[in-house]
Amino acid sequence: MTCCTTCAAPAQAATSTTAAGRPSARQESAPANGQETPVVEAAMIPFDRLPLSDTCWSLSTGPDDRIYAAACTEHIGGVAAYLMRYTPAAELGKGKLEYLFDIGEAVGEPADNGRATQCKIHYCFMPDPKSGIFYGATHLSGAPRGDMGYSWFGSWKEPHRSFRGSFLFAFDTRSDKILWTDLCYPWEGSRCMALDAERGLIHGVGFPRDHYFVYDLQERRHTDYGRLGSVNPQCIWVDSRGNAYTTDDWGHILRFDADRRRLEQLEIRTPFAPWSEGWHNVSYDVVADPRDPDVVYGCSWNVPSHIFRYRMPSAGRGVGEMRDYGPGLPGAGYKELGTFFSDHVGGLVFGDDGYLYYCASDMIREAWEVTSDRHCWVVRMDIDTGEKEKLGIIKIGDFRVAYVSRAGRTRSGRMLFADVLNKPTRMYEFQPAVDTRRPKVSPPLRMWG
Amino acid sequence: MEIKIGAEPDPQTFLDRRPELSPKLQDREGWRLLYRHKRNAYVTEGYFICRRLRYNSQYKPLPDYSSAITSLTAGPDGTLYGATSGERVHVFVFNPAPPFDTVAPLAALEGETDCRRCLVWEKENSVVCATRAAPGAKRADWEGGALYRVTGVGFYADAVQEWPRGLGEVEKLCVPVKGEGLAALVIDRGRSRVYGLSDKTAEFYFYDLERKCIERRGSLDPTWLHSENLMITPDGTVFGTAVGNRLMRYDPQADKLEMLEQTIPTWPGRALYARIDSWVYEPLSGLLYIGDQGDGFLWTLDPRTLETRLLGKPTDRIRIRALAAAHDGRIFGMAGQVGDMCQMFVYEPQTRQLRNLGVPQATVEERRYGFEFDSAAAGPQGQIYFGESERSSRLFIYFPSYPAAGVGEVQAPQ
Repeated sequence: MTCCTTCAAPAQAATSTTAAGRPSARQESAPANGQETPVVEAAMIPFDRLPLSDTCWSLSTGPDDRIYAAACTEHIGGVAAYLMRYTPAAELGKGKLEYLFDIGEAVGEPADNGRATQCKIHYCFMPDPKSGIFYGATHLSGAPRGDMGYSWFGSWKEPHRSFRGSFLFAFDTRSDKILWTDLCYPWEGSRCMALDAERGLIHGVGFPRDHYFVYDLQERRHTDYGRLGSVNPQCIWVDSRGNAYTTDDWGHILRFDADRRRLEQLEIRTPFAPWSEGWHNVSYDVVADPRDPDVVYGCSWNVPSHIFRYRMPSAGRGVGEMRDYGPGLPGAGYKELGTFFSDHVGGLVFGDDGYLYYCASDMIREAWEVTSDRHCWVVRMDIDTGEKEKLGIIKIGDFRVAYVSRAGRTRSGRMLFADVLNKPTRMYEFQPAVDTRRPKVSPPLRMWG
Repeated sequence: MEIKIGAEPDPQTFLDRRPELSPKLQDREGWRLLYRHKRNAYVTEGYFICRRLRYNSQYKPLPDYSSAITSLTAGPDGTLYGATSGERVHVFVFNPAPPFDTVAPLAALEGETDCRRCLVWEKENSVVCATRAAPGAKRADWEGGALYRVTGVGFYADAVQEWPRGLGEVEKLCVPVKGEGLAALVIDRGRSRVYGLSDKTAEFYFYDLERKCIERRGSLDPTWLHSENLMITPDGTVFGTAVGNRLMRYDPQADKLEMLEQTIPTWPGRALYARIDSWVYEPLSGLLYIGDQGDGFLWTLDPRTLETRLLGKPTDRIRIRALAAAHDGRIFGMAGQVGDMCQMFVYEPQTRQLRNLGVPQATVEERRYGFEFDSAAAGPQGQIYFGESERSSRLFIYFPSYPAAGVGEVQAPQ
């Protein structure tokens, strides 16, 4: 157990509730243009005991209302992912941080076994509230120990170095025991997953072949339903009937019909910018509507990423309804050098006030490796009006956050954001102010990664 | 091994265990080098484009689960014909020439689910195909695989400003072998006949396209272990395999079907798995190049001398599912089994080099990796077509790089 620190920034009390629900944002020193950039009050929780970890691709609320995160190490060979758990305290950043276990060792693929490592959990956390089990599945692309990189195409099924496959683990949050592990998808990583707890099915997408598969928890075996395209969707979600949804390369909604066990393309697409043809408009992050189990809000993995609402078709008929809320970063237009890193949108999570919160990067990337002017905004959106408000950037002391992959929340409304590309990897804790004039909502437990 | 939950890791251990790597690898140049190495996984010699199986974006492509391109054949006029397998067989035509450069669906064959290695160009605007039942798709009333003639133009006028499009007509010719599917089909246009093979007992037959009558020459392999391929040479001699992996030859002049002493070349102990997976006749050498199903070998058969020669194993994949011959004698192929990530290779007869070219990737009309292919054909302008075989498939078109000056018959333009 570790009580984490808030690094350079002094611990801040949770933001106070205001009548207007506007968080009390600090103002950072005035930039050259004379305008101050607001900063939200947040705490940083670095995974200090994992000094080589560099990304946190998965963060989810567990069935025990604690936050689970994956400390991933993909840029140095020979290190496996670690499962982390965080229990927030009243004061931001003062919660209990636990290093639960080395996932490579847990699944029987220790990081120094000469193969590409079990280095990540990539959007593949799934809590089962009934059983208290927290599921996770591994992903590539960490190199074997001693190698600088891993070529997933060049090493496909190569007998010595190749990634052995995605392993699923079932962690019992009630007893703190690993109940079982299984190779759920051989030779490939799992990009994203969703749990249909009623049917005991886990829906997944593999990488690099981009196939859709379904893992049966009872039979402990997977079935492959064929290829989606070339760009992995980054999210699968399920409706109230157990149908699963994701997208193809062009943002077409794909539905896995749970009764017919068939993957089908619906004639409806996720929204994209008018100058774009919609390629790469795969789903990136999706959260369930707190008021309707058959409505989700999501964003695309594109530049600019658009926020959308998708009402899934009732009783399997039709294609559903899509609403485009426009770019995730309010006012974002065409950007000649926009990239998936510098203009990223992720970390979607609902607040108790029914606002949709998320993180939107707005940075300048001079070259592939160089990003300066780090800005990661916390944005909140009114899902009824579509109005978006930039609350402030996440900045802890002099450290500016750049990229947030996923978010989770506790029942008390505390939000945690997962960071990517800082060593050691880390997360950020944020308590949004609640607009007391708005009806309180209770967002459901997120059943997908 | 028991995993202790919640034991805090010692950070120093990670630092101490870190292998010693050159600091240069951490800087920008190091990363660029790394990415160059990773990029080498793709085919970068020559280039690929792909075409969706639709006329233009006004139309839907051939449906998912029915678009795996399992047969291809090119006509001398430059048009390419394809047939798909899955829930339904579709026959399409691709016209590579402006103003088209597009695919036109010709026909959907009612009740048919599989057409594999079974499409031949008969004459202008006419192809013949043969069908079988896809795994699990055999109905109780299924009569057997059938021969079809599909005729149609598909293209008129202009595909840019207007796009009137024609469909084909389907004529069911016959069911050659009751209760069995059709595994292979080749055509002897000089004799106006197609030769075929049934998928279980390897019943060998030919169908006269003018007289519309069928003649059977008996079963080649009652053990059902034959290669599901027939090969034909320009003089009309047909080759296949029979029981025991022996080669079979049919001489149309003498109407003689004979079992040869030669067998499929393979490694010791691997004869059990050796089959002909794909083949192509290469006119410059007069050789049949053959891809192996069991181990992914490439070998040749000289139809005149019956000499077989094992050329090697171009990749670590265990099948060669598609082969095509370029005009300069180079042989291009796709190696990889079902569910695999294929690799493309080339055999250069002039230098006797067998080279793995990598994983195909098209960037036009779609950015798409090519993982599985079940068919290939060469176009008259030197392009090589590969039929993707996926839940939702595309036609891949490969433009080989020019060979070195002085090699082969094709020279780089002045």
